[in-house]
Amino acid sequence: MQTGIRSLARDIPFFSPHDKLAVVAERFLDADLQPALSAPVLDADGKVLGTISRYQLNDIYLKKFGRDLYGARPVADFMTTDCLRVEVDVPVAEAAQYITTHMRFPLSEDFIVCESGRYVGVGAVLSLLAAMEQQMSRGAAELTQAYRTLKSSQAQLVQSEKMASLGQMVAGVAHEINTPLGYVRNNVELMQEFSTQLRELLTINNALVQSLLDPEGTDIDVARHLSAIEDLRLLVDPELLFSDMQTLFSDTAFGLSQIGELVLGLKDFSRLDQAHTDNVSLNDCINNALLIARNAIKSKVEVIRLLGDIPKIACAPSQINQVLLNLVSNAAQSIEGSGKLVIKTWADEQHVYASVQDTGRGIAPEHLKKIFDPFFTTKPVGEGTGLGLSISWQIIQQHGGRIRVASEVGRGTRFVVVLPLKTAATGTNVATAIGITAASH
Amino acid sequence: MQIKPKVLLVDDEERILRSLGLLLRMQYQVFATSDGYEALEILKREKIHVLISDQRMPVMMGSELLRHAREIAPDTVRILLTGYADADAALEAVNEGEIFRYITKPWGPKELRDTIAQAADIAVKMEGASVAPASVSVVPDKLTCLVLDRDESTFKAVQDILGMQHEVVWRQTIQGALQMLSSRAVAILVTELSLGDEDLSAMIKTLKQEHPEMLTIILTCFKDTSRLADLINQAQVFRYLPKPLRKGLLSKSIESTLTRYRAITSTPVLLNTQIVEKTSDTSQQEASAKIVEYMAKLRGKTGFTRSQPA
Repeated sequence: MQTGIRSLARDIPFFSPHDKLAVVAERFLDADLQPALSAPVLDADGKVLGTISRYQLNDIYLKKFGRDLYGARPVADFMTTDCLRVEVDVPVAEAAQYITTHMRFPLSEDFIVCESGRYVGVGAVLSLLAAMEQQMSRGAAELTQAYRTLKSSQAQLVQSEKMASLGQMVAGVAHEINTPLGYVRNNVELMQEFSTQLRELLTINNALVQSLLDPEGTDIDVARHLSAIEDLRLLVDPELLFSDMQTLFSDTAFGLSQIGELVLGLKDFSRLDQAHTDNVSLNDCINNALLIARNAIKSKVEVIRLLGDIPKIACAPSQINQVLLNLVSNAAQSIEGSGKLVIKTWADEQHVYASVQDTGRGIAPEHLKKIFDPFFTTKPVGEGTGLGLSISWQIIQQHGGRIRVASEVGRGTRFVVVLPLKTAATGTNVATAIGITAASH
Repeated sequence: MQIKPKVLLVDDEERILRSLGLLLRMQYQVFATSDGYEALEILKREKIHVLISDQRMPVMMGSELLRHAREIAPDTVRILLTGYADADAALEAVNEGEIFRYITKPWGPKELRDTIAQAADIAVKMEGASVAPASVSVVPDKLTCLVLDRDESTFKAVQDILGMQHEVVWRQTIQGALQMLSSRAVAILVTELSLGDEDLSAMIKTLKQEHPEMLTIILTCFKDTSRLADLINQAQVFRYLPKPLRKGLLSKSIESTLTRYRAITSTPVLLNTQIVEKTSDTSQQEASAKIVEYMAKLRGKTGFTRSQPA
């Protein structure tokens, strides 16, 4: 490390324990000792015995006759033996910690840098603290950067999981549209045929009227037209045709409204064109998720909705939809053959609740602890990202709520989503906290 | 007035039943239900010519209904009409329901009418045939099976199953297969859907047009619904088996294919069930034309002429 302890060590002259105090005091006036608060006292091997500081010398000399009384005595008698010592290979942070807990006030000494007890140099406490501060701010910047990267990659994960589930669902809804589209197209074709037939009938009828009004018209003409009408009526019964057309029209209108509903469901589900937070009812979110998941839910799965009368809550609907869709499709997937899917909502004074319960294969106790862990999945490679529940958990957490789960192998699983009626975080914070805002644009 | 053929419609959406009912009522006597069990009852009670079933239905899935229908009324021509690209259902419909056509929703009314007319025509012809069986032509005891796959294990598996009684020939290229086909009659073609990066769909479809009596078993790891739908409609694929190959399944499939082949060759009217739809894809048409030309050249050399269907 460049900013290690060694770089802080300045080459300050040292004393021998036998040096006389007067000599030492004299030396402290020299230029090479100017930058130092204290200087080391070393033995013949260069081992640090202690330090003598400018402050100590002043103290002694300020005493009456101090210089005369003590000047001839060896420095060893006055030096501080429990001086600040730092081994050269100690990390800056550790050294700083040691110095700050051991240094005396007022600050009157430097710290000695040693290598295996031998003198290397003298370091100023202040420069060590400065180095420490520098290092900390760099660390903080790195942390901020790491945090940012983490947050954006998490936002990407959330987004990609959402896109994956959405992609699957869009395909499902596209197929769902094929049924109404099938009969609507067929009905339009039929109505065209019917109108052609009616037109034929109308033409013959007009011809009859013409021949009746025509003063030149003969009974034979009238009879001919009448029989033509009779013949055609055998093939085309206008009464029946009109009643069939009524049916076709109302079926077509129904089909179109169903297609509209499916498209609206997709739009509501993604909410890409809307504000990130809204006041919505969990019931609507559930209906949305069920509409989108219809393709994923096998037709032998009976879906039972027990939706209570619950107040609306402020939330990010597209995220709540994602959670519910995840729970519903997991539940549907866990059912082999036939089974039931019960979805219930209710509320109390503080919370709204939504439970998704299935009669599927259940989750083993050892797996139950891990289901909200990122990347935990029991599905084969390529079938599950292992992120669905972990993201659901996060979304609910960010909304100030929680998810509970209970499961029994062979009997089924029940998830309960609990959301507060009043979100702690205000609207937009919910979305930004999970990083959706940045990722979805 | 001529008796109208009977068509049975099964769909859980009553609007589909109404819509199709009105489309078909002029030409057919239409029966309709949303319940698979009721459909089976109708099949037992009435001589239904064409069965058109949806796939996703709450009481009984379409593929299941088609399977039962094949047992109860084997002469009823079966059609699957579905809005979902469910590959497993499509596989079941081929392998167990032996469907004549796979039609996707939304359907084109004219195309659907044509397909049903064709199906009804086949069913009516077969009805006549079962009253007066056609003269039994001689089906040779020893049949030829062509295996087209780079994977030797496929050939070995077929060899193990058929080798004792029949001839099994292994080819690894389209040219090799076509040469072999131009020199003698092949009863069963067991083929991959691709050789390396070469798609065999066009070849399989063309061969079915050229050799309607030859039955095709596809062995592949591809499971693409729209491709499979085309292979049903344009190649009358008899079995579509997933790789990795399961020997029990292959053995059972080959056995049914042999039975079917014998039935078709001894009762030529059955050959009508092998009629395929022409592709509207121009690149496939071009590929097909090339194959036909190549085969004509080969035939010219070898002097082998294929037996004409009755």
